[in-house]
Amino acid sequence: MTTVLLVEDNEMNRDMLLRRLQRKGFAVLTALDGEQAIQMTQQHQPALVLMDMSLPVLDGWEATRRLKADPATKHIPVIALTAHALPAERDRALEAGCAAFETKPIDFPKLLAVMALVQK
Amino acid sequence: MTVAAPGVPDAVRATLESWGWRLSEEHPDATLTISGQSLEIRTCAAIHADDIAFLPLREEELRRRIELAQHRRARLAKRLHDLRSPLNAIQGYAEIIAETAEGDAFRYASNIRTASELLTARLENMRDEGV
Repeated sequence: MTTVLLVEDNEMNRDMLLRRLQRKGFAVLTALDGEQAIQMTQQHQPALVLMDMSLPVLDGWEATRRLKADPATKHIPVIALTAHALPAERDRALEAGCAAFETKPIDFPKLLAVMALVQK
Repeated sequence: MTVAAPGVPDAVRATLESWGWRLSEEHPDATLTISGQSLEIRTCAAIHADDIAFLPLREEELRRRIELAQHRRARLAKRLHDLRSPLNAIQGYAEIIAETAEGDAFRYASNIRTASELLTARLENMRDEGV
């Protein structure tokens, strides 16, 4: 079973995506902010991280940069999930080290395809 | 201030440089294009210009217009972001229901999803048009 870490501070969005991923057979861990995301990634070594970018404590951009700077976690792909649909936001996420960028509302079949792609 | 000024006459470019402004396509504060006797100001890749400045240019005036346009754009981006978040939950839960429900419940959930997709498309248009 593939384990993914879902980082999302909004309760409804977290619950919704958690359920959908579980129904597709993923084991899903959750984190509510950037700091928890780093801690959980180091501890559980998920196959990939789904990262909301506007997060409390430590935002998704900084959390991704730190994951990419750490030899223990830099191999784990991070997919940015954001409600900011501007092209500049995509560049910002990719510059931080994200492997892919998906906008909300999430196109779930597309997200699954991207998840399969970045794991290769 | 850094501005991109594609197709803008050399005289206008020289004026901008005389103010100490940088002319660059990389992360400009605004893109300026010429339209008749006026200068169109865009702070993102939008269909409609954010504002228009008339020639000849005055530094303080142009700076103020660019800053105002940037401010309006940032406010719009935040509003669209705030709308997309709950829309994500509505659409996602509707899809979960549609995956398992049958009959009327399936039809209702499908309609919620379709309406939500329509709303998303309208938000995209608002962003592109800078409304």
